[in-house]
Amino acid sequence: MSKKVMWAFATLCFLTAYPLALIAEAPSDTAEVDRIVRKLDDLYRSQSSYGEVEMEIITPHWQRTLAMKVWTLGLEKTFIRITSPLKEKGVATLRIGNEMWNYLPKVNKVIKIPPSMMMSSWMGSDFTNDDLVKEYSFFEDYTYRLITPEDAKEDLLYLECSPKEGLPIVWGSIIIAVRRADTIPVWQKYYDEKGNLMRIWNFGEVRLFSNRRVPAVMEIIPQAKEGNKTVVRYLTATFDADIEDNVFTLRNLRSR
Amino acid sequence: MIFKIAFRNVFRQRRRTVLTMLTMFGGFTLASISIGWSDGTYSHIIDMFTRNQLGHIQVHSEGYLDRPSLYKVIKDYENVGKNIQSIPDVEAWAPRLYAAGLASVGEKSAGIRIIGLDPESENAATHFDKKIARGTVLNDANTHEALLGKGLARILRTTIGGEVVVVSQAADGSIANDIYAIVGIVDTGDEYSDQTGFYLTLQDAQELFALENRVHEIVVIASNLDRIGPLVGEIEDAVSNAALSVAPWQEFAKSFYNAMRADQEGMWISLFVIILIVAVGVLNTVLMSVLERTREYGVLKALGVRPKQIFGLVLTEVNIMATGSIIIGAGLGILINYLLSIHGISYPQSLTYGGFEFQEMYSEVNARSLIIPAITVIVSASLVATFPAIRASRTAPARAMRAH
Amino acid sequence: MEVNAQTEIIVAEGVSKTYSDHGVPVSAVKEIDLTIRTEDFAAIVGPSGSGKTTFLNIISGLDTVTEGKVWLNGKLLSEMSGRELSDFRRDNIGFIFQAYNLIPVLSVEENIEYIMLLQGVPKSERHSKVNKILAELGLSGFENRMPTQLSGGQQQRVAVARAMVSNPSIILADEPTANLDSKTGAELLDLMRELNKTSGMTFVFSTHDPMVMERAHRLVTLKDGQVVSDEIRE
Repeated sequence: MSKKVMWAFATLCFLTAYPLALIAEAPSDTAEVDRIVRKLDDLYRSQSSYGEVEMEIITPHWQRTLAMKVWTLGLEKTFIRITSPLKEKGVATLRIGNEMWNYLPKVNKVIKIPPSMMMSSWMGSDFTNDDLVKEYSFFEDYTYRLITPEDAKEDLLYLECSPKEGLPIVWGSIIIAVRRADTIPVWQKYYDEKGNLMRIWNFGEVRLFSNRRVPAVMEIIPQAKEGNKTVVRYLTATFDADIEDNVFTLRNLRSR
Repeated sequence: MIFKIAFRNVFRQRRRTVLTMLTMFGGFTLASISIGWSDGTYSHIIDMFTRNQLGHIQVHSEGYLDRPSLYKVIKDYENVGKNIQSIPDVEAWAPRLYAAGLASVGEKSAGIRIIGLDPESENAATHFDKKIARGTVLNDANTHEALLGKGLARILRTTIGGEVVVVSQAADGSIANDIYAIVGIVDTGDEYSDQTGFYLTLQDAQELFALENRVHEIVVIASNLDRIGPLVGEIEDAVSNAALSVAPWQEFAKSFYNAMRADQEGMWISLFVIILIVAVGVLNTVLMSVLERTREYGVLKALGVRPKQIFGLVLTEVNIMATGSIIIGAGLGILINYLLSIHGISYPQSLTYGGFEFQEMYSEVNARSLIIPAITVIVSASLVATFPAIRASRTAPARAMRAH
Repeated sequence: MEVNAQTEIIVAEGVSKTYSDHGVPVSAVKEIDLTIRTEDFAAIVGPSGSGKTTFLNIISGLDTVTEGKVWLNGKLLSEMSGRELSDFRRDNIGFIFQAYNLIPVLSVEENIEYIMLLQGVPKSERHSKVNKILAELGLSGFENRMPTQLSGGQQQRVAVARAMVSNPSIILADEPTANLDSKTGAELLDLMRELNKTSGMTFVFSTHDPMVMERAHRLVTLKDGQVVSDEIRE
């Protein structure tokens, strides 16, 4: 079963119940590391989910906050509808597998995102359309190992993940820092193939949603664009909610 | 007197002189035509390349060329344009707004380059109206009409009468989206830009991107290609805004300019050929005549002529022939270049350069096509004649006398 | 050695010249001591290969010595640079060659005024001097002829005019009559003797022409590169 690198906002599938195992020592055996990685993969994953999200986009030129509702079903389907500000109210995105459509209420049209636009920004944020579509699993698609960086902190564990060969993953490697105590991620750093830092994801405000303890805030800081930042905040989230399949249809996309 | 002797010596050996001058004349004319031709070709290409689209000079917000961005704008563009228009050698100017976006017709979507333009000034500056293959020009107002590049229309499987939805992001961060009626198809000759080109009126584009009274580019057409250099400074003065940068086409079309320059290097090959032709011809005749006249040089030296003057005599002879050849050659070169500049030559297969197609090429009459070959002929002839001239100047008078 | 530049126009002291002929040293002149005085009308005679021409070339600075010294107008030739020699020849020596050696592309007048041109003599002066010398040599009216349009005697007279026109202190003539018939040769020699007497110009001939010997008032005989006799006749 595959899953998403983009768990944070992208998947928006808040997942797996979180076991509160405290690990005092650095895990040494492979099985233990495997367990941490699987838990990362499953952090936000669930059969279905619904959430209300606030997205703050900061650029050197402007700053704005979008409010939206997000539905997910399995790993294949995502539906997002923007509720504010007024100018964007009703704008919606539907993803089914690798395909994406945007609905624009102003012109009452549905637009299919072509493959050439997949690397473009989603609604002006630091997410690309591709971020919403691509699903990768650290456990299955990456090789990983525990590392100890020079500036390692006592209460964190560090994982270095490199994509397996032959996969269309743009990153050269990803460093993930998780809390030693509960293996909840603190940050992820994405590097390109030359080892340049491309973007940083910070996690924060661990909250309990549907009996799951997950970071409620994610901050995406692209390194190439100075002064740009996108902060995603879950206001509410329900995992394994009862969601109808007809949410994820073009007909629903069109309904205002 | 040296000149007189040299001049008469040239006429003494008519056959040899004619032969030498023919090689110089041939070399000169060949070079003159090839330079005129190459310059003409490139002027034609530059004209196509700049006048049709890029303009001779472009004004942007500082840094736009290095890293284009929606936010690097020229504010209050109408005043900037008026200031530019007031400069005598400015023929026309046109404002443009550029942005990337997504266009969608039914199930088909494509990335586009949105170009907001003022139809009237764009027609005056770059004859934009002539690039509209089908349909009508844009109205000079807020019409929600659009023109599509030929290739883009094909990709979107739409045509005149259709509607296109455009989505992008406005300068205030909001989602820019609107719907436009297709009124025409554009064929710029550049296949790539026709696959992405999406043209709106400036007002429509400014509204879509929340960029009222702002543009990204002002193109300027100079009345004369040679005036572009000085105009850059004059525009800078007229605009007098440090936040704006003014660049000539050589700068903003750098890769094109460099490619062209590299191509023009080919000229040196033809010059090298002339040098060879001239060298062989000159060396032969000068050496022969020096050997024949050893005795004469001996007499001159005995009479008290300095070696340097004898050296000068030989070189003067060569240069008289060279100058004569150049004068005749210049006449023929100008004539041929002039004829080719009017009639041109059609290529059997059309040539594509810088994304444009060229069917006919023209020559050009200019100073370069005369001066460069003239210098080449004179320098190469003089260089080659140096060896025989040194030989002549070193003639030992005693020995030359004795050889009765 | 003391040279009296007023009276001793050429002084040769111990002059030797050795050529290398295919690696074999050949002595052209050997230890010649000779002084040419002002107003000399001297003939250097001797059989072919006796060193006449070589000696003439040496005393005019056209050829260098292997040993010995030559003073010309009190100046030591070996101390002069090539350029000084050129200028010195131009200003002090007139040459008359066996084969006339007029510059074929120049007219009679141009041939004659050529040296004055090099000296920077103004045009009017050149013109009057040329006319004067042409008249003296009976060549008036030939100014604009080209050398090829003249007879041998006329050409040699032009050569004499060219040699004399700039008033050199000495005229060196290498077999001036060799290519002329005896009547023409005699006329030319008489003319030069006349000039020698009237203008006091020094003449040195190398020759084996009896006509020249008859008229010379000094006869230097060379044999195998050495002076064997030096007689003065009045």
